[in-house]
Amino acid sequence: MTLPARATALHDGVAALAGRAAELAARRPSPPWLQRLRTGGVSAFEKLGFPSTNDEDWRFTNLAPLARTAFALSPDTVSLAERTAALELEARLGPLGLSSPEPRLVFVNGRPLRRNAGALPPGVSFEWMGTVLRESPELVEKDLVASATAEIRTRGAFAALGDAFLDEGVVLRVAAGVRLEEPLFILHVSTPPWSSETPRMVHTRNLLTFEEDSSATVVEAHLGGSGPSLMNSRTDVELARGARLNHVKLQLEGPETFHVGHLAVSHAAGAHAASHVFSFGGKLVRNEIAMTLRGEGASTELNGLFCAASGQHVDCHTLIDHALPRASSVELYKGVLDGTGRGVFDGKILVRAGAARTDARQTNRNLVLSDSALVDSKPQLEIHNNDVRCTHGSTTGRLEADAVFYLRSRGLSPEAARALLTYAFGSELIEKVPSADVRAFLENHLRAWLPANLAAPEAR
Amino acid sequence: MNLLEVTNLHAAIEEDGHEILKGIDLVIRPGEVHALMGPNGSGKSTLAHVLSGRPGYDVSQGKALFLGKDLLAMPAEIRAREGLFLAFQYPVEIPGVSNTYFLRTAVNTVRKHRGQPELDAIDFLALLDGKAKLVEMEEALLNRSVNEGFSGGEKKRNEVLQMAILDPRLAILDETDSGLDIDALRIAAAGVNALRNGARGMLVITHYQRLLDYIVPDFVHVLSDGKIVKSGDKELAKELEAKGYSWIEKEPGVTAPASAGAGGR
Repeated sequence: MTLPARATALHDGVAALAGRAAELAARRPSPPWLQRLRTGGVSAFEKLGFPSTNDEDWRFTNLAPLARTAFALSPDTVSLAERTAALELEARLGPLGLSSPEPRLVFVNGRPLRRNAGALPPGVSFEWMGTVLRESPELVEKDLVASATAEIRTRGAFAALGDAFLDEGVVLRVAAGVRLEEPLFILHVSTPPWSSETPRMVHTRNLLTFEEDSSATVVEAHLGGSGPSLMNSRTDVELARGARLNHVKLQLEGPETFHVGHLAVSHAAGAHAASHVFSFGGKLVRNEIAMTLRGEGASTELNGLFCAASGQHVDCHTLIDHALPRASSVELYKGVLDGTGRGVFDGKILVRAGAARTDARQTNRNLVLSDSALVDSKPQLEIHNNDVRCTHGSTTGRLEADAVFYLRSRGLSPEAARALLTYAFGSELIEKVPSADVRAFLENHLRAWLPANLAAPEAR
Repeated sequence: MNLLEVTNLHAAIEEDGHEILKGIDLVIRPGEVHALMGPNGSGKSTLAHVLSGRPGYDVSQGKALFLGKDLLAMPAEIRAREGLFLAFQYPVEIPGVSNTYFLRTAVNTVRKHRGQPELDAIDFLALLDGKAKLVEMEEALLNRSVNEGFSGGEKKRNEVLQMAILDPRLAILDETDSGLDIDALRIAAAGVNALRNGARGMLVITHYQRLLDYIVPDFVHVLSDGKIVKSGDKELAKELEAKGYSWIEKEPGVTAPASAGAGGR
C-alpha cells in the first residue's frame, strides 16, 4: 500500500529526526536514566509522528511544511560565522542587547555562546543545562524523568522530540525568600543556514525552580535571521508556596522560522505567575502555555500579543488548569493579522471538581488588517464545579471607521491613523510588562513591525 | 477673503441615497460666529460631517469653498491641516493612545503642513499646559487614553482643548452642549469664547438656545428639512426658544433669504 504524498513526507521527516536523535545519543556519554529518557523520546516520536489537522489540538495548524523540511543539529563547536551572525542579531535588541548588564545566558543554534557577568545574589543558580547534565545530573534527574511520560502523553510529538534531543537549555534555581530585582535573560539566536547547508534545529529545555516566597522576572527571547530554522523550546517551572514569576517571551525570529514553544508552570498555594508572550511571526509559530493551579489561592495572569504578516502563521494555545479552591486566572490575548497572515487562539480553562470559588476571566481580541488575513478563535470553558465565576469573550474585527475618521479630522493621514490605532491595540499588552527596558524595546519593535503600508507613527 | 462659502449644497447618505441637505447657502467671514439651529433630523450634523469630510455622504450638487479652495475636493485630513476643525458631538474613545501623544502628533502634522517648525516635547508641553488651563483640564486626563472613560463634560472639554492646540481658521462645533450640565457647559463655552478672535470663524450647531447664552453668535440660522429657512441675529434664537421650531416650520412662505443667509453685514 502506498501512502499519500503528504503522509510520506511526514513519515520521512519522522524517520530523519529519529536518526538525528540517535546520532546525538551516541555523541553524549550519559548516565543510564538520561539515555533512557532520550531513547524513550525517540520511540515515542516514532510512534506518534507529527500530529495532523485531524488532531483537535492541531486543527488550525498544519505541520506538513515543517515535516517536509529536513533539519540538522549543529555541531558542538560554534563557528566564527555563527558568532558574528549572533552578535549582529543580538544588537537588534537595542536596549536589551549586548550592553545590557543583566545576567544572561546566550545560545546560538542551541549551543552556549556567552554568559553575561551580571551579578547574581546568593541563593540563585543560573546554569547551562549541558553543564548540569555533565557535572551533576542528579540535580535535574528527578524533574526531567518525572515530567517525561506525562508530557509526551499530553503534548505528543514535540515533547517527545524535546526528550529525544535533551542536551541544552537553562537550569535556574532561586532559593527560598530570594527576590531578584533585575530580570534574567535566556537568549536564543538562530542563524540562517549558509549556502547549501541544511537548516538548523534546536531542541532546548529549561527547568526553573522557585522555592518558597522567592521571586524573579525571566525574559526568554528568540531571535533569528532570514532562512528556515526550527526551534522546539520547553520551559518547566515549579513555583513553591508564595513564589512569584514574571515570564516574558519574545519571539522575534525570521519570516521562515518554525517555532514551537511550551511554557508549563505549576503553582503551589499562593504562588503567582504572569506570562507575557510577544510573538511576531514566522512561517509556523506555536506558543503553548500551560498553567496548573495546584495550590489554594494561587493566581496566574496570561497576556499575549501575536502578530502575523503575509505568509505567516501564529498559533497560541493556552491551558489554565484550576485544581484547588480560591485560585484565580486572568487572560488577555490579542492578535494582529495582516496580508495573508493567519492566527489561532485556542484557550482552555479547566475548572476541576475540587476548585470551588475559582475566578477565571479570559478575553481574546483580534484585529484583522486585510481582507485575506484570517484568525480562528476557540475559547473553551470546562467547568466541573458550580461555585465559580468564569467569563470569557472573543471578538475579531477591523479598525473602527469612526476612530480612523476622528484621527483624520485632526490632520493624521489615513495610514498614520491606522498605524496609530493598530499600535494602540497592541500596546495594551506591552504596558503590562514589568520591566521598563523590555517595554521600551517592545514599543519600538511593534512600531517597526506595523505593515509597511501603515506609516509608522513617530516615536513618543 | 471669506472663510467658508457654501453654495446650493445638496448631500445624500451614500448607502441609501436619501437626500439630507437640499440646497444650503452659507457664508462665514473671519471673526464671525454663526449659530445653526434646527429640529432633530433637519440636517445640522450632516452639514458638519459633509464639511469636515466624513465618509458616507454623496454631494450631488453645489460647492463649498474654504479660504477660496475647493473644500469638497480635499480629503478630511487635508481639510484639518488647512485649518478646518470639527468638534465632535460624540467624541471617539481611542484606547491605548495617550491624549498628550495624540495631541502632539496632530499638532505637528498640522504645523508641518502649514510650513511651521514641529514642536519638540518641551515646547509642546508648554503649549499644552497653557491651553489645558483654558478648559480647566486636569493633568490626569492628559495622560489618559484619548476620551477613554471621560465623562461627557470631559470629552467636550477635550474637543475644545484640541481646537485650542490646532488653532484652526474655522471651527465647527457640533452640539457641543449635548449631554452637559450647566457647569460643564459654562467651562466649555468659556474655552470657546477665549478662542474667538478676528481671524477665526465658528459655526456653532445646537438644538437649544441655552448654549447661545454663553457663546453669543453674530448670526443665527434655522435649518429645516435640509435648507436654511430663516436667518437673523441672536434675537432669532430667543424667539425660537419661546415659540419652538414648529413656529418656523408652520410659517407660510418661509424660504432661505439669500442675503441674510449669506450672513452679510
